[in-house]
Order: sequence, then C-alpha cells, then structure tokens
Amino acid sequence: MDIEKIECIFNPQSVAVIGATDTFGKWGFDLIRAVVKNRGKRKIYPVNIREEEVCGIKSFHRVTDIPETVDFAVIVVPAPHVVSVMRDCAKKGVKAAIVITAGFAEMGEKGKELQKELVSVARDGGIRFIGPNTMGHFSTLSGFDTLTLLPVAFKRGEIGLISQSGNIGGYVLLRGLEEGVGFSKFIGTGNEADLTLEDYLEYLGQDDNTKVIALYIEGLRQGRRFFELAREISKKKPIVALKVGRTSAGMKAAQSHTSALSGADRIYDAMFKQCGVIRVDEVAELYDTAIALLRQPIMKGNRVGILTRGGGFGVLSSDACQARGLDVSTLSPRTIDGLNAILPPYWSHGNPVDTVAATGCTYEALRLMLDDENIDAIYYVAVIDKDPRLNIGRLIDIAPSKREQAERLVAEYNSRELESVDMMLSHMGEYQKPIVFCSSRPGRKPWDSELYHRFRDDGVMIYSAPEDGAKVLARLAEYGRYLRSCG
Amino acid sequence: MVGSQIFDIVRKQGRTLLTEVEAKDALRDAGISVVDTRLARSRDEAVAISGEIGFPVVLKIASTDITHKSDSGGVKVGLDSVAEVISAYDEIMSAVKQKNPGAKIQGVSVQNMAKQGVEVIVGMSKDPQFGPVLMFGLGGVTVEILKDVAFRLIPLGERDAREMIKEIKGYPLLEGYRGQDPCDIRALERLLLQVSGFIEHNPEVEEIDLNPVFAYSDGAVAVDARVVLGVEAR
Repeated sequence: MDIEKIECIFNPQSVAVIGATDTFGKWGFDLIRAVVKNRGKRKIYPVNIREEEVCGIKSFHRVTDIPETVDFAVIVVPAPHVVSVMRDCAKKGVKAAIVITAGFAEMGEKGKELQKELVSVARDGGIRFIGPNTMGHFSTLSGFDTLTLLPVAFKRGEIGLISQSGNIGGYVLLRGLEEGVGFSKFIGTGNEADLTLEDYLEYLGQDDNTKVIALYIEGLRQGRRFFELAREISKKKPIVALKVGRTSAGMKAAQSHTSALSGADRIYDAMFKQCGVIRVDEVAELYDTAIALLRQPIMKGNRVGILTRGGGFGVLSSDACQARGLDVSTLSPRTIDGLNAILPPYWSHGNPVDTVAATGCTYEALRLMLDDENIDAIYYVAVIDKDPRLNIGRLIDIAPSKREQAERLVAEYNSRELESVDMMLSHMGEYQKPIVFCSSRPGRKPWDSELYHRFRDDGVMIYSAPEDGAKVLARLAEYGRYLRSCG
Repeated sequence: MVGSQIFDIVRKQGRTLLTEVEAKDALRDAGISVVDTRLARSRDEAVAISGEIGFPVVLKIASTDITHKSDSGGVKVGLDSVAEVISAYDEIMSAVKQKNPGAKIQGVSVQNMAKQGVEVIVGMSKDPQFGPVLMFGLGGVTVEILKDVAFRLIPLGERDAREMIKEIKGYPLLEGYRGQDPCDIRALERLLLQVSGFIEHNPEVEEIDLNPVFAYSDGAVAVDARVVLGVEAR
C-alpha cells in the first residue's frame, strides 16, 4: 500500500479544489467551503476556468497555474472534463486526489470507458485517488474534509467508517453528530476505480486513531485480500460490517449502484465468520454495534444477567437474548442470597432479576450480579429517566408548606441516580464485563436530561427497545468468542 | 502414484476430469481416507481384484466419456461372489455399449462395498471473489432438498473445521440421534483440513466432490470422489 499517499489523502498540506465556485447550488460551492472550514495551516487553492476569486480566495484557471506545490486535488468538474483535469494534476505533481464527480462506471459502457481512461492517466502520473462518484471523505484529526453533508465539523472519535454508499455513510455520521458520537476517519469509496475498500481497510487497520472499523459493503473487488487483511486486523481491533445483498433483489440493486461484483451471500457470510468480522443486518445496528465495541470490555462468555424493574421488559429481554444465542444464565446461590437481603420479598428470585418497581436498590442488585461468576455481561433494562421537571410537575397540587421538602426529595433522588450511573459506568472497566443499558421509556433520543448526558458523555448508548440492546450484546459475545478462538 | 503425476497424465490426455480411480489415488496420496478402488481392464482382472480387496464389492464402468454411470447401467453393487462379479461385469459392458455406443471404455473400477455410515458430503469449488471454498453438509437427499451445508474459505484452520461441522442444522444426527453411535467428529474435522491442505498444495484443482463420505463412530471414508482440474492457462 502507498502509505505516504494515503496519509496525504487524510492530511494534505496543500489542496487544489478544481471546480470550486461561488454559484450557490453547485457541488463546487459546498465543497470549497467544506475544505476551507477547518483549513488551519493548510494551503487552499480554488481552481475555476472562469473565476479570479472563489470563496474570497485567489483562484486559478488551471491547476498548473498554481505557483506552489499541490499535494492533493479535489475534483468536482463535470464528467467530460475530469480526465483532462487529472492530466493537469499529473503534470503538476499532485500526489493524490478525490474525484467527487459521478457519471463513470455506474453509467454503462461509455462511463466504464471513461473511468478506464481516468485510471490510466492517474496511474501514469503516479496519482492515487478516491472515487469517482463519491460523497467525500474526512479526517477529524487533521480537519481535512471533503464532505458536503453539513456545514459543520464532525466530532473527533475512534470509529473509522468506510462506506460504499454515500447515504448510508451519511446516516451513520449524522446520527453520530446528533448523539455526540465521534469518528476518526470517513471514506465514501465511490466506484473504487483506483483505491478500493481494501486499501482503506488496510490503512485504518494500522491507524492508531481508529479503534473500531465500521464498513458498509455492497460488493468487494478484492475479496481474498479483504479476507486476509480482516483476519489480521480483527485480532487487534473490531471490524463490524453491514453487507447487503442477502436477497436477490438487494444483490441486483447493489450491482447497479456501485458496479461491484456481489458474490454469493453465503460465501460472504462464511468469510466474515472466518476472519472475525462482525456482520450486522441493519444500518442502525452498524451504528449501535460499532459504538458498543468501542466502549464495552471484551465479553468473556455467552452468559447474560438481566436486571429489570418490570416484568414485561424482563420477558422481552430474555426472549431477545436467547433468540440471538445468548444464555440467560442461572444465578449463583450467593447472588440469590444477596438479592434476598436487599430486594422486596416478591422479587423474581432468578434471572431476569425483576426488582418489581422497587427503586433505590437496583444499583446494589447490579453490583451483586457483576460479582456472580455465572454472568459475563449485564443487560440493565432499568434505566428510568427521572426528569426533574417531570417530578416537580407532580408537586403542583401540594401545599406550599410541604413543597420545599418534596422538591428536596426529588433533588436528592436525582443526585443519587446520577451517582449510581457514574459508578455503573466505572464498573464496566473494573469488572471487565459489558453492561448494556435499555430504557423502558420510548423514544430514540431521550438525551435532554442530565442522567442521559452522563451516559452519552461516556460513550455509552441507551437503547429504547429490549431487542436493540440484545442484538448488541449478541455481537459483543460473538467478538469475544472469536478472540478466544484465536487463542 | 503421487497426485502431480496423475494430474500430468490427465493433462497429457487432454482431459480435466479425473477418473474415479485417479481421483481416489490422488486423494489417498494426500492422506485422505478413501474406499479401496482399483481399475480392472478385463473380466479376469475384476475377479482377481475382488478376491484381493474382499467381498462384497461394487463394480462401476470406467470410462472418461461417461459421467452418469448409473444412468448408463454402469453400476452394480453388493456383489458377494466370483460368479456375481462375472455376470455383473458382462451386464455392465453390454448395457454401456447399448446406451453409449461411442464411449471409450477403460474397464471397470472394483471397490470395496463400504459399510453404511452417516452420509455427509465434502466439496470444493472456486468462487470468483474468494478463490477456493470448502463445503460440508449432510449427504443424500438432505443436501439436495434442504441445502443444509456450511462453507469456509481455504485454507481452513482447526477452528473453522470445528465450526463448520457444528454449523449445519443436521449436526444432531452426527452427535448420535435416537441411540445411534455418535460419529467421529474429529475424523470429519481431519478430513476437512486434509482436503483444504490438498487444495493448497494443488491449486490447479478446480473442483472436488466427495459424495458420499461415510462417517462412522471411528473414522470416516470417502466412498465416491470426483476431481476436476482447471483449464490450463496458456
């Protein structure tokens, strides 16, 4: 792999944006602004055949007119001009590029020919490039960003995302943005005419800023290479992949989308298992699983202890866990004794541990379950968001004389909850057992309260459906199992 | 004869498909357990070989031109005596001459009638993306109707062999169902690893079918084997 050139892709010192414009509504309008927004010391050169100035910066008619050296070219001119622009870049000594423009191999025979010509011009000039037909890429570490999704910077983080689709990538990135999840690097691979998903995988595999790799795959171009790379990388950092095309309709759609060869799905399935790639089936699962793999400790077995404050969620969670191959294990007698001492007499006396709406003792119950050697992970289906406003609302009809006391009780309750959240979060590391959280309150983003912020700031998600958390637990168990089988 | 020598002969004759005897010889050379199978070029040789390997035996037409041996009347099983071998030989020859008049015939293959075990299959084919892929499944009608098979990319590790056997839905049948003796799972694992190794050493092999393999409480043996070489790159 051309490490130096891939480094340059994520952190170029000087960038030409070819097709940059001040005409609102054109891709080149957003693009120059995306590149400029975190420029730091990076030199930016707009290139536009007609303009003298773009985005308030002196513009050049051709990339060869730029007097300084240019590391990287962002190309967003119409398809018929891309090849000649690439030729100019080669002349200029550009090291690497991204071709945003569409209208290549995804557009039939003529497009395929054009793409071939583009590749040969780039190869002759020693240029490696992303795309064509891509939505962009970024590195949050260097601040270099060709993504025009939003006029804001993405948060720094340790998840590296490689996507063969722009809008799938967009979904994951935007959810991350909303929920405070950061990324190290993102690459929309486009048609992979030159650099392929396998190149990016190899790079992220050795990138110290990336701790988890998330992939959206429609079809691989170098299947064997992927397999061999993933087998090595997955021993060091988890790889989670959403591979589409389980059905023949999906496979056909994928083929026309990025013109990749999508092989037999069953072979993909076997291949992922064999090289330790965690395969998921839904976009939301790709997001959830990547975040959980980043924050949670490695699960040492298959046994889950479920803690709930109500029966229904306990039943649902047990079903969801078992259906995904997890073992809702039997509690040790010591744990039962311990729970008898702190829970009301009518508690469930088994796994799931149902405290039957008893509050104030769930944290203690969790501690006892973490101590149980029959439990490898906890599914905590007991997060209740005691929004202080909600409680104070209940106090409306209370006599003013008693109000102050009631308010104090609510405040005390909330601070106790916050304290127990802090302790629960620190226990994940101490016990080296995953704790997955689910709330019995509906809604995907109950982030307004202080309680939820505590979780979020620590990189821990709260799921709002028992099935979602169970899916994540099953993936954690799968990765743990794979690592154990590697010895 | 070692595998590569067999492949050379097949290539020289302009073939890619190995005969059953050639296929089994090449596999045996790689340590894979196959039913003792030899080529008899005449009726007398068929009788002599039957005596050597022991009754009961199976006779199959040996012709590089005939792929569907039983459809051509070219297979006789459960032959218990010299007399039965002689008449089976004659019946096979006349049936084949009638149904495939132009076929070049090398003789018959004589093989030991293996005692019935749990039928499984092991196959290898090449995927355009991932190269050689190994398949394991329950044999007989199950594989055709239920497609109860598991795949792994070659080369396999011990974990892969272990997991792919457990992965099939029919795994309980191998563990011993309703009082049946459990199959020798370790022997099946070994077989998968041996086939994987065979492909690693002989990348020119394009396709393998071991169907059926009989799995026993001790050991496993390939009863029939089909090996196809790739078209040589010029």
